[in-house]
Amino acid sequence: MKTHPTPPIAPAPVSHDTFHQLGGDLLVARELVKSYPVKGGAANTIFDGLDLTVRENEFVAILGHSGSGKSTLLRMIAGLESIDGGTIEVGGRRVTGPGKDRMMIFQHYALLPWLSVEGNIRLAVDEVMGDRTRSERDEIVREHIAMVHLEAAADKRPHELSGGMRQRVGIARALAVQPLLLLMDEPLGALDPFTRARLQDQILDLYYARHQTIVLVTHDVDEALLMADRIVVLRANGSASIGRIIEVPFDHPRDRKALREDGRFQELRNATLELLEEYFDEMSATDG
Amino acid sequence: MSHIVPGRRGARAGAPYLRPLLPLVGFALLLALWWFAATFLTNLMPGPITALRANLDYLANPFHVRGPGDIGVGFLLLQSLQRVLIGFALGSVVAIPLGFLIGLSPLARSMFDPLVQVLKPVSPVAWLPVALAVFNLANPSAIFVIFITSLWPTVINTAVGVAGVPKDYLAVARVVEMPRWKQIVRIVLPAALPYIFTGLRISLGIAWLVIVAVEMLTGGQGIGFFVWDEWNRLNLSAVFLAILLIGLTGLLLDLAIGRIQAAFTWAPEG
Ligand SMILES: Nc1ncnc2c1ncn2[C@@H]1O[C@H](COP(=O)(O)OP(=O)(O)O)[C@@H](O)[C@H]1O
Ligand SMILES: [Mg+2]
Repeated sequence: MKTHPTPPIAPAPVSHDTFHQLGGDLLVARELVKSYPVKGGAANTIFDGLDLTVRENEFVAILGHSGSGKSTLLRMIAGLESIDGGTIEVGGRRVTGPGKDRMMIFQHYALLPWLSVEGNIRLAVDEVMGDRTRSERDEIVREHIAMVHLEAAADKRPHELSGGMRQRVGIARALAVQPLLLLMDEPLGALDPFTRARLQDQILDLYYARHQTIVLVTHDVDEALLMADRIVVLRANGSASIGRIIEVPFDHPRDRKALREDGRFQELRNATLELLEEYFDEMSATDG
Repeated sequence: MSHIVPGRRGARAGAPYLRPLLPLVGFALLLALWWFAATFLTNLMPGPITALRANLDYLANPFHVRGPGDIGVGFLLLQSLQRVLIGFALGSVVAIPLGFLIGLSPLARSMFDPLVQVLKPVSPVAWLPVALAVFNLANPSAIFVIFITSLWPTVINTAVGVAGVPKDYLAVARVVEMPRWKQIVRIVLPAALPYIFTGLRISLGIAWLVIVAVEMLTGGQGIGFFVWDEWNRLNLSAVFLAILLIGLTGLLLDLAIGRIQAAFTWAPEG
């Protein structure tokens, strides 16, 4: 791994281990344009020609300040938000709306409160895998409850669970339908630091075990560096664009303790924070 | 039971097993006031004891039929209850879908919301002449007024509940490509159910209020006309009995719908 010259953040060659091989392009977004109408004024342009590519089995983090357009970008990929220009393709198919090839994990879990843990996961499985037999679907639901270690809580309803447990249900629900692309919008943002760390590790384990392609939206630099292969830093002056793409040079599987002692991690962390500060000042200047 | 004043130290130091007796104290106070008014202030109304004695026959034979003008109060209550339940059921069958429509479609909202806002403050009894003109019969007219009564709270609450379904719930349904009709049945309906029940509960409560007034006007058989009829015979004792029975029946109705609500909606937070 090379040491950092100036500029501090340079694309570094990523050395990939055997169980972490990147494939071809899975997500290709070209020339994305997005604006929100503003009452009695010029439209608020969020993106004006943004390009983004994510490869199969890649873990990409989208990092940026609040209001920089992270959620909008993710929701456009999910098909939940309309696109005003450009194209998004996932697995070679044009995105025109929500679809079961792209599952979303929500910051506030989005569990249906009248359904049990099992019922929430079953709702998604039944809908997506209607062509499978009932017992096959039962098995998939059971498997995924076990995957997030919620067997004992399977019959409980969301309000009986802690935040961390709720998000594990969200993760199980999303993975149970075996999407090509897993989209996460600040999934751990509402959790305490310890639960957060444990879930980061669990998500990484699932990432390794299932060769899942993941796009994670976060505003937490440590989280992005711990988990992602690549960090897309959004820069919002005027409209949002990709400020920089940071290749994260650490081998998988990652170990948070080892990383914390790693000098390169600290350097990269500091440089990323500086970059975010710079973008933040820029954004404040355009706003004010 | 809701406590008007939370237990202070003095109350807690007292015997807690006396707590269940407090409602009785409340009723006793009312009786005392009644007795006081009847005895000392005027001789126009019977006291509690006189009223009870005068009502012994009604209490002993609630379901007697001794001719068209002399029917037990139990029967009269059941007839009023029947009108309320039929009108309420018909009203709910119209109000819930209408509330869904208004909650789901901005177009329907612009079309119907002003209408609901204008009609909602109208006392349902004002519809009675219209109903009488159309049906020419007391019973269907009373049911029609209850039908109107049952519409507004249910329409409004249903619409609020349906429009307020969290966007994330629908996003979940959309990413798994759930068809629209199924989203309405499996996501919107359960999410709005607590609101729908709130509307139904308010509707039923008002319907029970309104039926007494309607029956006073239409005559016929029912607890409302009983009140009016006994007043015309200057039999206030029976009026007091009717007030008590109407109150207890209303309470039971509310408890019943509360039970159904609890069975059909998910537990609240916590
Ligand atoms: N539904 C919407 N209508 C209008 N403006 C919106 C809407 N959603 C987001 N925006 C605007 O788009 C910008 C980016 O928002 P968002 O994608 O939520 O940012 P982030 O997730 O990075 O905090 C913000 O300025 C926000 O005000
Ligand atoms: Mg966001």
